[in-house]
Amino acid sequence: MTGLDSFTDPGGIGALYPFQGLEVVFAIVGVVLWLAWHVAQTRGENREYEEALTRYRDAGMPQMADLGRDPGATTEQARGRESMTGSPEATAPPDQEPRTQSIKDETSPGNG
Amino acid sequence: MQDELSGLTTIFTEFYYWVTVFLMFFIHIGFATYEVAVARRKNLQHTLMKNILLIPLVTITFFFFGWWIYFALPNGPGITGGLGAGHEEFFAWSETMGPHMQDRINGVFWAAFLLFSWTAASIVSGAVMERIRVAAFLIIAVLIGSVTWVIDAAWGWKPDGWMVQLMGYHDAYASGVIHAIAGGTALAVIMVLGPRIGKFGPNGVIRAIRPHNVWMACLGLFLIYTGFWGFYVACNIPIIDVDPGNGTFFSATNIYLMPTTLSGITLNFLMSLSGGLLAGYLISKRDPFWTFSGGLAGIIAASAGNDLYHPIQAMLIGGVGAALAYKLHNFVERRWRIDDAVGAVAVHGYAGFFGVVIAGFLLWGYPAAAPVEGTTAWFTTPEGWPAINPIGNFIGAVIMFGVLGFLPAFVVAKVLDRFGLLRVPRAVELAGLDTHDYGDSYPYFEASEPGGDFETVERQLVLTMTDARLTRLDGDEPPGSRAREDREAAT
Repeated sequence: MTGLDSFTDPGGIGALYPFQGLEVVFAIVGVVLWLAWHVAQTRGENREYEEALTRYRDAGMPQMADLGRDPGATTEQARGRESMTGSPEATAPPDQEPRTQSIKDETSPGNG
Repeated sequence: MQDELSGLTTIFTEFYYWVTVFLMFFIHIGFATYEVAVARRKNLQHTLMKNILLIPLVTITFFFFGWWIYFALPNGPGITGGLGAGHEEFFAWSETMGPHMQDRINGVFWAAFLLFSWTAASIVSGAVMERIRVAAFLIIAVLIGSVTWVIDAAWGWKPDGWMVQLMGYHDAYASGVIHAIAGGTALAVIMVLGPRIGKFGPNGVIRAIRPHNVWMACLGLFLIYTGFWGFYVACNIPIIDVDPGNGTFFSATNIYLMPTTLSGITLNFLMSLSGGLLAGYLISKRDPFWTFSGGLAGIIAASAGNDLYHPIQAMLIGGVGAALAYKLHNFVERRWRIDDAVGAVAVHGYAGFFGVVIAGFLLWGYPAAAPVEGTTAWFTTPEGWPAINPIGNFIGAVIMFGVLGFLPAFVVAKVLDRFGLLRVPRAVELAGLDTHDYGDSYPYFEASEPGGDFETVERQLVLTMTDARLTRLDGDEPPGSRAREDREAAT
């Protein structure tokens, strides 16, 4: 049994949740998960920016800035990945030239 | 519950606060909408994610310790006593912090306060947008949402809080306890963070960074007004006997258990909104964003005393508050080159500060709360109750904006900056916070032509970058915080 097995005397019932008596354990688990979330999020964000800067150095900053403003850029292109349908060109309508190239296809050595 | 009257009163109160929580969700739909609308196209999804994540983090931390702070610290740091009586009932591990047959109020009251916490953190979110790291913002959101504003509520937004009992502090609808503290926090963070790249040019030039969608920004502010109905009524106790010594007289009360009416605050809410809108329109020369912001500043300026003002007083205070917010925003931006992306410091901080101060004058001599044994107020009513007064409210406004708003946030922002964890790398900021990860938010829309000279300035800066590192800033721009990645690249 995890908690209550009768509601016949509501005036005599207190807490309704299961595993009563373990509230301190619940709180410790919650606080640990909260702090761990901050650590994981911070590490992930730091890694995200390091990867972005590496990509910008490789591609050249002006090209990346264009990609940020170009309506034809897909999320996959922005992430430097192939689109779900294959190459970036495959996402362009048939009567239209692709507007941007994937960062991976750029040949510019960058500004540096 | 042993009889029908107590049963109805309790379940009505439970339902009342539940409705306020639902209504206050509109504040956060509004904040998310207007923040995203003010952001430039390259930053929209990052802005949205930053804003939404404060909600779960402030919620869980307010559960873990924020709610306990409200009941534990009314006596202040050693000023009038120790921890508040009964604070143990609000530990995260207390039985009444969950479904409980003998308690129907704690959960909904917790939630109403929690929505105030979200509001305080959301106010900061707008000011720091387009250049702060999400991790840094979320730490600051927890600081204000689950710590500092709750301390100020325990001190000045509780009948037995020491600021109320000693100073006669009065702030019925949170001009200071939410808005001024959030404004002070936002100011501290943006001072350390620095302006967005290109905001300030050579020879004192201040460049306008236009919202990507003006009407949506205004609609977001309209949604915030909508949610404010919930905010206002959540600051009241809906039904209580306010004359227990001499018979029975049921009334709504403010948070200090002093009588007011739902009807009265409805009048004053609408009149202060109107005063703010009308003044905002004139003072900003018909600018839509500042007209709508003026409405918000109007409500905030009158909120401290909207439980007791005459509606025309509320309208006038609202108008003055909106004009002050607009003028001060531009003055501070020009004088100290501080980039507040949405005017949050002005609309919430300056208007809130003004609202607390003016309430001290207009409500001078009114009872602030029933007295607590052992405390003698600076100013008292003829019956010996703590009296509202200008000195108490002025000092209270300084405590809200400066002591609990600005100072802790400044220290935390400085520590984050020390480790390079406050601001995103300059290359990421220039390319756009969405660019390397989320991509364009409007992939099927044509890009608009670059507006004004701002994109040109950014373009020129991009061309000066070496190794994805910005080697020079534009003109007189304050340097602001530097990301750890930029520091590593420089060494």
